[in-house]
Amino acid sequence: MDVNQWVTMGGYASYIWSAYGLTSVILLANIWVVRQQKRKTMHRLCRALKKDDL
Amino acid sequence: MWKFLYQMASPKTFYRLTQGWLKTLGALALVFLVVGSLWGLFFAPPDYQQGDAFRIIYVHVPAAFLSMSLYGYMAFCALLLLVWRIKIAGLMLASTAVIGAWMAFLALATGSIWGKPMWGTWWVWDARLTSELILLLLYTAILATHAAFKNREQADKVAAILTLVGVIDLPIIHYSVYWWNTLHQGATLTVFSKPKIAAPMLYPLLLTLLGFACFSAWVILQRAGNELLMRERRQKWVRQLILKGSE
Repeated sequence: MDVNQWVTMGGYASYIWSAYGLTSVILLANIWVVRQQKRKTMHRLCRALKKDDL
Repeated sequence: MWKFLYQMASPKTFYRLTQGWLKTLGALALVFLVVGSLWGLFFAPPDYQQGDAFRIIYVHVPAAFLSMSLYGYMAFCALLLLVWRIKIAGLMLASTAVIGAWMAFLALATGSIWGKPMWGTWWVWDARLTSELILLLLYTAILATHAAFKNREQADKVAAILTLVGVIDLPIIHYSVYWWNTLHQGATLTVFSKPKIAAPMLYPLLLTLLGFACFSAWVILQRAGNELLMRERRQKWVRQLILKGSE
């Protein structure tokens, strides 16, 4: 287990890192979207409640 | 058990319980994903045929597995909604479709990235690949149909029917590698027989599988919670919840 092998991945580095990179981006985007959605929902409901228009 | 299930059909209890699970689920997902990927990337031994390229398995197999099991779960929800009229099941179905579609997309994309160095091509119209692509199209069709209806409950019902029609694709994907001559390798993990992978390579795979499962559950419950609040916004418990939140 040497660091050099970790970076080059036996010549497959570009494939492996792009597969893992893509996966991370998609998972993180999903987290971001649901959090944003939660914030928006709460904001909307809060405003509607203040105007007494739920 | 039955009491628990009955309670889960009540929106208020459902919301309270599932929102309480979120922190644990999120933490588990994070730990499993980080440990599993680091282990798979850096500490599992290279494959004797595929060298280091096989390490893509740690994201590819969980994504493919989840894309199919989430669809199976949606079909179960569809039955609960259509046969037993459990409305929460319709909401869960719709909340699952988005992450299911992403999993199908990830399975195809990472498979394609794996296929290039191993098979010499990004894509072939092979039985396994084609049936998985059909699964992705089914997900997008369900999402598009669901979005086309203004009435949410009507949307749930139509999406449920479409889900049940598409369920035929699941056994086709699963058995495609046995029924047809395909480029795709056989299953690595099966329920009833010994896994076709050595233990030091297997453990990180089980970890990332659990990680993907917890992650999907986390996303689904977040989505379902948001949608539930919108749908139930005229109920007293939602009103109290918002008042508490805005203080």
